[in-house]
Amino acid sequence: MSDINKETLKIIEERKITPEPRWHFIFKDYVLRFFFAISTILGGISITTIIFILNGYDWDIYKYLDKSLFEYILSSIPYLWVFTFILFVVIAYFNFKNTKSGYKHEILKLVLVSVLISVAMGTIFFAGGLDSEVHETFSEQVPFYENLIYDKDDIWNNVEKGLLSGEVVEVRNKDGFILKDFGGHLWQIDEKGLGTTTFFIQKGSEVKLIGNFDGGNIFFVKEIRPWHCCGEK
Amino acid sequence: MYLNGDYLNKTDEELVVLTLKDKENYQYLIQRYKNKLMRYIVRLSGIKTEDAEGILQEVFIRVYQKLNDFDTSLKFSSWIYRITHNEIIDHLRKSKTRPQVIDSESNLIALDLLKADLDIIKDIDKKYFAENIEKIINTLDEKYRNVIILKYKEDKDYNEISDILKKPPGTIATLLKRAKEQLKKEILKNSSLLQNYV
Repeated sequence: MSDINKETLKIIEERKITPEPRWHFIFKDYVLRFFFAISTILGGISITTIIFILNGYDWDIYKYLDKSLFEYILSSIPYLWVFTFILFVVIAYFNFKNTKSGYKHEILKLVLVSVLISVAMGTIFFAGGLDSEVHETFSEQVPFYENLIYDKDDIWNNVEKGLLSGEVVEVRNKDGFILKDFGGHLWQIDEKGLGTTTFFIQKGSEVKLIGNFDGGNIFFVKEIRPWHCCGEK
Repeated sequence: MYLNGDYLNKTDEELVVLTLKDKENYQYLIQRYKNKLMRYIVRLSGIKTEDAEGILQEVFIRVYQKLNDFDTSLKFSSWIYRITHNEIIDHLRKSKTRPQVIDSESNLIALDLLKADLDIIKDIDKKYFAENIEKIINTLDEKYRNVIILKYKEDKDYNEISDILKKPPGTIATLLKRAKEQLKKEILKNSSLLQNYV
């Protein structure tokens, strides 16, 4: 072997090679950890939106939609957000794996930890009220978002199947009220067939109605539920 | 080149610190690792010594550039082997060659240990084993070859192999188990072919 000690030092000298500063490596590691944290937070936001969308469903109304419970569950899954969540878990995994010590951990453990942190964050965000913000912001700002998400607005906008929703605009008497659906159409609601309800109807209330449609503008309500549930804004 | 005897007794980590202060001290690290790494390059790639020297020099330059990245929670030897391993893989990919078989006494290190680990092949002739093991190792998938060479030729433990290949220790254990299974299968296949031929 040639004198590699001498040769190497000569090349280092001639090419003026110097060790890269320590902060370069530390910075790179921190960038990876930062993106791991960001991906986990975004995964958490995806989870809170999934919880929000699922929480808005009434799981007993599948029969009105001519679906089995299984079909209803399948159609209710917010696939866009599930996919987004998986994507952020994958990004978080790759970022952490490329940190200095990331390779020491098994893939399953890393993915599991990333999922658990995201789920924990999602639950905290949900409890903190961030849930509806994301969904509503996307609904307003992102084109085609509403076409990609099958949410309670779609379910309760099925007047032919006896499901209607909207805002009470006028309470006429104890037999009925006027409702403006979320598409802006006015409906006369007939309450004669309404069973016992503890929900108090007043102007401005947002409600979900189960009943029958007469083919015109009158909807015969059998059950009234509040539009917002479980602490939703 | 003059080498200070006191420096020869220093640990790798101390020499890293000294090299960062004065690049002339780098020669002690080179001196300590050049033969080991040269053997590793030849074993893993099977290339000629002249070409291996080129890779080795690139390794030492790369190590010098990355000296500040050395993580003291690792053994320096694992870290320098990792850089060497990556350099060999890069070289093989660029030249699009598959590792070649090499005939050298140094390749027979730890073969007894390997033979003992592959316990079903007690009956296989020692001479046959020694003569053919290199060829058979060379037919293994790259991931299996890597762990077999590090474990049985470079005498590295699981944690060191994990640090060199940047894979979790559990994965290394699995790879090694599968590598030995594949190796056994290949040895038995080859020995039966040989017997049929004879």
